[in-house]
Amino acid sequence: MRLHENLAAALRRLPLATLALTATAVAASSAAAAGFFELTPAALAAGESWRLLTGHFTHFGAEHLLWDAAAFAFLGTLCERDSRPRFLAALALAALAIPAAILLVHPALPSYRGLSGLDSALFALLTATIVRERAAEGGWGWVAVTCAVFALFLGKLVFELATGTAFFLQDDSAFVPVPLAHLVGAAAGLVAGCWTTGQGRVRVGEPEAIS
Amino acid sequence: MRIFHVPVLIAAAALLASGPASAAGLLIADGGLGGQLEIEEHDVRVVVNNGVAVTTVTQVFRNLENRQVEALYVFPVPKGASVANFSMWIGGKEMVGEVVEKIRAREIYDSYKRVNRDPGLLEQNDFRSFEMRIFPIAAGAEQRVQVAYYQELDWDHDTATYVYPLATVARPAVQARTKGKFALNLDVKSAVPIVEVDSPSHAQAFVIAKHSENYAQASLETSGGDLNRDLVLSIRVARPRTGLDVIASRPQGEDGFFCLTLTAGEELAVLDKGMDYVFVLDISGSMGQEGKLPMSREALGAFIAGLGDGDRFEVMSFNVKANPCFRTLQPANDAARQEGRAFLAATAAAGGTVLQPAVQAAYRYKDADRPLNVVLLSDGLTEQRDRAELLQLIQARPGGTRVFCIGVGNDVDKPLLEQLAQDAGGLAAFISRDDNFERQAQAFRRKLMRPVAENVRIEIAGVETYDVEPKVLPNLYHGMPVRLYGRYRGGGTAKVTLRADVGSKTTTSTVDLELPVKDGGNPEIERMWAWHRIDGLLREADRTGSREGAIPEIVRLGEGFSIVTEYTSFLVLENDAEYQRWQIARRNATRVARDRSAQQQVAAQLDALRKKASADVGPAEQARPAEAPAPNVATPSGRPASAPRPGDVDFGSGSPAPSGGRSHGGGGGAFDPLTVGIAAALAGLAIAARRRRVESHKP
Repeated sequence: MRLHENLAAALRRLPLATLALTATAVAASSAAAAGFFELTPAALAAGESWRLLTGHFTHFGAEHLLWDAAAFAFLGTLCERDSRPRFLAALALAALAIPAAILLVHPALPSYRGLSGLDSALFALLTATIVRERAAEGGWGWVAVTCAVFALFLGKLVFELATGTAFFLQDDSAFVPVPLAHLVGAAAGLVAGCWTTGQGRVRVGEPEAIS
Repeated sequence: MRIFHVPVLIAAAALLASGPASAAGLLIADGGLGGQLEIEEHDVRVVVNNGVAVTTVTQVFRNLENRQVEALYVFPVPKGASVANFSMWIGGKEMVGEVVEKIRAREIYDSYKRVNRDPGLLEQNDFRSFEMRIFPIAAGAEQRVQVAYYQELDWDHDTATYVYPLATVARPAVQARTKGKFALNLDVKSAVPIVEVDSPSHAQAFVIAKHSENYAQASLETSGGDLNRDLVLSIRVARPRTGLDVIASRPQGEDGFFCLTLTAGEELAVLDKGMDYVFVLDISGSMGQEGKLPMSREALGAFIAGLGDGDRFEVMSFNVKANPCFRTLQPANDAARQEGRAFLAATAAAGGTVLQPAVQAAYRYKDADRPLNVVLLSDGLTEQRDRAELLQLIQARPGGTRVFCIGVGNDVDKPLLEQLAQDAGGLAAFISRDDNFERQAQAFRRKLMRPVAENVRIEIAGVETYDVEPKVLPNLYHGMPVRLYGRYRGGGTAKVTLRADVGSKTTTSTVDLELPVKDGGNPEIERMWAWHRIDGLLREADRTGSREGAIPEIVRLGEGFSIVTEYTSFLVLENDAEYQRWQIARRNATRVARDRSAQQQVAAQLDALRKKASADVGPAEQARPAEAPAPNVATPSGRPASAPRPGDVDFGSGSPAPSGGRSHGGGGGAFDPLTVGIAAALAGLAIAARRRRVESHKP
């Protein structure tokens, strides 16, 4: 009985959704799969609406996938362990808002791929979570440092939006960066992070004592 | 003894009109003055390979008169076509002609004439048709001739139009009816997916089959058919995304030939903003012939009617001086349109053609913040000596100005108008009396409104290329592909980089394309490369004002690739011994043999495709019971219409690019190492914060 309970607790601590979604991104990394699942306005017009969601999980190459998936894995793990509903809400909101914004602002973009918009949502969600919890306990030093890190992230986004260039992305890379996706993703993450229903604190892996 | 006689005229390189040009090959007795020999058989085979059409016409005539006749063979050469071969059957044996330097060909011809044994000689004298006298044709005898010509098809609205000229204008009295079989078979191969093939002129008579997304076939066969109406076939293709396609040919032991086609895709947005137009109408004396002026008025009226609300326009007529209608740009409202039409109605053809003052006057309408389109309607029959000055004037146009040339009628100087338009970042179009002017105007406006890219540059790395034509690529318009011909050494994967100005930004895109180490299966592009190379040399020479330096290379290319030019002629001698006597290499005979062998191979491949397509025909339930319906409008290959294709590029559009000037086939969110580092710092904070919270809650 004890073994069964330990196993159940271990499973609860596992960030299953993060693992599953990261695995999905890896599985969709082949060129053929990416072509079939990427977000393209032409395909949407032809009725392939699944691409609105699947486009996030496709990538332009191994390097693109590596950094996006790595960030998703550790940010997702932390967010999901904090609150799976909030984690899923942030992802769902960002997953829909990002394509909408891209189609609206960049209708001529032939295709969109990448997890980083969702990564940005998780980044903002984690920031909001730390700030909310530390502020509730009077940890203003933590709040200040966290806000500083978030400001760094925002500063980078603004730089990319203003200059149209991206750090570490070479001119001959296979795609153009879309900072708008990061901005919209971050906004979605903040909205989900500010979501306090009072019942959403199902902490994955949190010590029993806390609840 | 059979004697071919007299010269002949013409055409190889260029011209005219999709409208009536003159009947398909006719053999007319008494040097063209007598009765027509009966057409017993008329077989036309056309292969359209990625927009390059090779037409082979075989005709069998019979002399029904009870006497020996000398006959004139008359054949129209369609616009932009290059005669590649002329064969006659003598005593059951095919005699293939050879292209020889023009002066030498004339000397050989004259030497035969002096002893009454004349060869056949084809010279390019103007743009229209060629004629060859044939003597003798015995009473009751049959005469078989074969002509092959190459042409790049005209594109508009993603549709290539193939016209087999049958309508007769040059000799209206001639009865153009075949007693025997008339057949036209057309095979279409296309790297860009074929949407449909149809015949606007003979919709009911053609049997059309699309065997795959890259191969379609059309055929028509009749007996005793009336040959006085042009056969028109439309081939519509669509590239879901802007992209590059390549076809190649690699003759054994030679460097390869390639043809790159850049096609604007469906993803490009409409550039929806007002523009300024100055319509410049030629009213010189030559426009009074063949109804050119009324035709121009009608076409201009349609253009003006098609202007948008945000557009402004001016109408100007010119002969030796320019006469503007408004003297200022007018908003395209009903009152201005009506005034413009009244101005046009009052024009009359008179005087010479001096284009410069009119073009200079049109430039003065350039407004700093609006694009100006100068639309020139003319037959382009300006003096040769004025050309260099005119070309300089075009190149010195104000920024943001494009010049579009519309050639009117059949007597048009197509090379000049095309060069003017190309040098001015515009394009040339040609209208004839049977055109639908409204459709032409709409198509033209669509191109104006959807300029995809300017200053298009293509760089090829990884495979050595040379003698690329054209040196400067024209602007890319929606519905009209841009082609680049060239040669290459070796082979393998080539990295093709495209750069172009789209709106105010320069975009760059790189794709990998395969250039075959052997074969390639597209011999058609070899002659088209040479034809473009000759064209490029002539253009460059005209720009400098002297052709002298270019002539040796033009002759070399003409002889090597069997192309009739102003400096080379087609000569048909009686037998192989005569060619040997004059030390004329049988290059064309060799090339024709190779082309025919390649065509047989292609025919076998196409036959295999047809069989495969036929095998797929049948009840879907029985053939593939387990297959689910396709998720999208699928091509015959099963690929969704929107699925990426090899060679897809992101060429931007009128909409803002997501980032800077770069554009590489798609956009994406990207977490780079710096962002991941920041995220890691946040993650560290989160972990530390959690530990602290856990510790603070411990009893």
